[in-house]
Amino acid sequence: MNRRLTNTSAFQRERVFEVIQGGQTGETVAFGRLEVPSNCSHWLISLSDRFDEITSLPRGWDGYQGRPVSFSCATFAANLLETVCVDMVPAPSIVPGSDGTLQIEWHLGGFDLEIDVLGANNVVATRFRHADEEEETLKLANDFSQLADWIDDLVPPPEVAQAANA
Amino acid sequence: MDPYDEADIANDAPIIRRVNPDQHVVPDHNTGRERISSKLFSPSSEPNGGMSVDFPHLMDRDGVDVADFVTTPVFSGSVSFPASAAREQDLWIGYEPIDGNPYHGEVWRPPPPTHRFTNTQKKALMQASEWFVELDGVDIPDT
Repeated sequence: MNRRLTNTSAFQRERVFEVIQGGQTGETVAFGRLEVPSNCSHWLISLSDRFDEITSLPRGWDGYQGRPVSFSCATFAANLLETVCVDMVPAPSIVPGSDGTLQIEWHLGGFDLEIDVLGANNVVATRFRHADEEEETLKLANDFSQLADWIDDLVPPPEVAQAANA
Repeated sequence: MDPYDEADIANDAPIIRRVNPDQHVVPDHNTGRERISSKLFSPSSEPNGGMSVDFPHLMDRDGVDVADFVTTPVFSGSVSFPASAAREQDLWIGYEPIDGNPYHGEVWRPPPPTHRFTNTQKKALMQASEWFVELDGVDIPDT
């Protein structure tokens, strides 16, 4: 199996099933690499090593039977971040799930914003606003426009940004 | 194992969930500290998947040092919450021994199976949790 070279170095063994002569299925093993978009944002540049890390976690990393984040989840998450990246917002934290999924999250600007990536086109985003303890939840497949609005709300007000740069 | 609720687990029995300091801890710029991610309180998306936990009462029965057991072989912090905190959220708790951990169990959502706990369930577990093996400077969020 040929894959486009990327700027990451995480490897995972993948089981690839193929039909062989006679109609029986055979099994082979290939090594796959995480694919990161070539026009990656500053988020993806800063998260490249993190994506490498979580896709190569050892079995049992969570103290139980946890497995590494799947390439499909990681790739979808990377593309999602590329879609919604905002220059003035710092890169998020990426947290692996025990089952190969991952969560993207920010805790800043008076918000807790969490994006649970359960698989390709299967995302649950939650935002909690500390000021009034309002919580909102979105179930998303491939339209992230509302999520982009939430991320825009994380941009600090100009006076805060100026103070931070002083 | 099919999800079930174990009657032998008392409501006041402590349930332990391990915390990997390198994976489950994130910065909280709202407080200037670090916090546990809510992703810690998530079940597996696999068939019959639940959230792995350890049962101290079984370790006590066998004379096993609980703190030592839950920090081996992968060092981790850990939090503890009462079984009632899960059951009050309509979650089930049952034994599921695995190789290398006879004290392992799961917290499940009852069938039909889903791939995640609700936000309410996750928050309830988080708010009911206290450090068992504490990670310095890391908060267990209460919101």
